[in-house]
Amino acid sequence: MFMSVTASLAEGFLMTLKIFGLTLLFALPLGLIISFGSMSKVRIIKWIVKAFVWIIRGTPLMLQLIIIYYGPGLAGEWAKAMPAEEFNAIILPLRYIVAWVSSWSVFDRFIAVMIAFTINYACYFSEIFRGGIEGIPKGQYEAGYVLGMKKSQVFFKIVLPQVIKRIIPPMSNEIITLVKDTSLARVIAVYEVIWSAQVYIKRGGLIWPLFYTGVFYLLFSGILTLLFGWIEKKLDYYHS
Amino acid sequence: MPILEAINIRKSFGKLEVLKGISLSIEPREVIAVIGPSGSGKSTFLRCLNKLETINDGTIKLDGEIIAENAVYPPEAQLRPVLKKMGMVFQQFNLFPHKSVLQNIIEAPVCVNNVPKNEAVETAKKLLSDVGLSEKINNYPCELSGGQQQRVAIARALAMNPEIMLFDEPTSALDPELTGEVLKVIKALAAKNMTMIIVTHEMSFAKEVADRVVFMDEGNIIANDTPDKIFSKDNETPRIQAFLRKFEG
Ligand SMILES: Nc1ncnc2c1ncn2[C@@H]1O[C@H](COP(=O)(O)OP(=O)(O)OP(=O)(O)O)[C@@H](O)[C@H]1O
Ligand SMILES: [Mg+2]
Repeated sequence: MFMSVTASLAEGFLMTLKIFGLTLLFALPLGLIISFGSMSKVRIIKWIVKAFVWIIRGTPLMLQLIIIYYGPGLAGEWAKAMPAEEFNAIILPLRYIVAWVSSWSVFDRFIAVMIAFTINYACYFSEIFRGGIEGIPKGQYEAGYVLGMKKSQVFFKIVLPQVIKRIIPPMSNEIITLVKDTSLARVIAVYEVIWSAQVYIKRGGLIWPLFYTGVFYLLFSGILTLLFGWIEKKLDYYHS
Repeated sequence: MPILEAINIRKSFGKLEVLKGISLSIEPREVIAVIGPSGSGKSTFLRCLNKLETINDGTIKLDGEIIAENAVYPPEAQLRPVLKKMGMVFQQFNLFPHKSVLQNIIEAPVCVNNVPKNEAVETAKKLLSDVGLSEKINNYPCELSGGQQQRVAIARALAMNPEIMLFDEPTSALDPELTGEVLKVIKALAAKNMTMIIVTHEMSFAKEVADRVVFMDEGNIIANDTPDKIFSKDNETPRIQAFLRKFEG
C-alpha cells in the first residue's frame, strides 16, 4: 500500500518541484529587471512599475491564477460576442488582439500556473532586490567608476555580490513561502502533490497520504532552510 | 605643458552654485594642496575633474585630451581611457568589502586593463609592500584599521598606473593616531614625483608636501601660491588669515 501511494504521489511531487524550480528560474531574473524599473530615473516607468508591483503584491496569488487562466478565454468570448457594426477603427484591431490572445489562452493549465507564479514571485523578489540595491553606499559605485570600470562591471562585480549577501535572509523566507504556495496550482486543476493525496480520501477514506505530503513539505522546506543557513555562513567571511 | 587643465569650471546643484568659474592647471610632478572652509566646494571640484560630478560650464583636459569642453563630454567609450589615468582616494576609503585586499587591488587592472592575473598579483604585492601592508594581503577590509584601509585604497588606485592622483581628505575619517601612517605614504609618493591634488585639513602636511597651495572659498579659488606665501604670517587676505588662525589654537 505504502509503495503504491508513494508511486502515485510521486507524480504530484514532481509537479510541485517543477513549479518551484521553474518559478525560481524565471522569477529571479525578472525580479531583478522589475527592481530596475521601480528604481528608474524616468518617473513614468518608475510609477507604472510600482503600481504593477503594488497590484500583484496586494492581491492573492489564487485570484491571479484564476484570472490568468480564465481571463483571456472570457475576453475572447466577449470579443466574439460583440456586434459587428461596432467594429470601427479602434475596436477592430482590439478585437483581433483579444482573439489572438484568447486563441493561445484556452491554454495549457501548466503554462498559466507558470505565468502567474513567475509574475507574482518576480514582484516580491523585485522589492527584495530593490532594498538590497538601495542599501549599497554610493561610494562603492564611485570607487568602481574611478578605477575605470563600466557601469555593468560595477553592477555585476561590485554591487550585486554585496546585494546577494544582504538579501539572503528575506529571500530564504520568500522561497520557503513559494514551496507552500505551489499547492495553489490546484485551483486551476494542475495536479500537485496535495491533490494527488486527496484522491485517496475520496476513493477509500485514507487520510495518511495527506500527512505524507505534509512530511514532504517539511522535508523540502527543511532542506532549503539548511541550504540558506549554509549560504549565509559561506558569505559571512566579511561584513561591510 | 600642464598635465591637467581645468578652465572656468562652473557647477551648480539645483539653484546652488557651488563652483563659480574655477581655473587651475597642474604641471607634471607637481603636488597641489587644496584647503579652505567647509562647504567651499573642494570636494565638488575634485569630483568634477574625474566626472563623478558633471560640470555646467568649462573645459577640462588631461594630457591635452578632452574630458569636457564647454561642458560637453565626449562619448563614454572615448572618455573612459582618459579618466582612468586619474586615480582617486576617498575620505571613506570605499574599499570593496566582499573582496580581499589583494582582490581589491587587482580587480581593475585585470578587468579594465586586461593585465594578466599573475602580473597584476606581482604588482599588487609590490604596492602593498610600499604601503607597508604585505602581511595583510589576504585579509578583508573589515579586518583592517582605518589607516590600513586607506593605505590599501591608495595601493588600489596606484595599481592602475595613474598619471595623477586625487585625494579628498584622505585622513579626515581617521583617528588622529592613524593619520601619520597615511600621510607618510602620500609623502613617499610625492618623493617619487607623483602628480597629486590633495584636499586636506592637515595644514602642516600641506605646508610640508605641497609645491602649491590653493585656497578655496565659496566656490572660488581666492589664492593659488607657494605654501610659504599662503602660510606666511603676513598674508594679506583676511579670509585666509581667519581660516588659518583656527588651526593654530
Ligand atoms: N550632491 C549634492 N547635492 C546638493 N548639494 C551638494 C552636493 N554635493 C555638495 N553639495 C553642496 O555643495 C557645497 C560644497 O560642497 P563640497 O562638499 O564640495 O564642500 P567641501 O569644500 O568639500 O567641504 P568639506 O570641507 O566639508 O568637505 C556645499 O554647500 C554642499 O552642501
Ligand atoms: Mg569635502
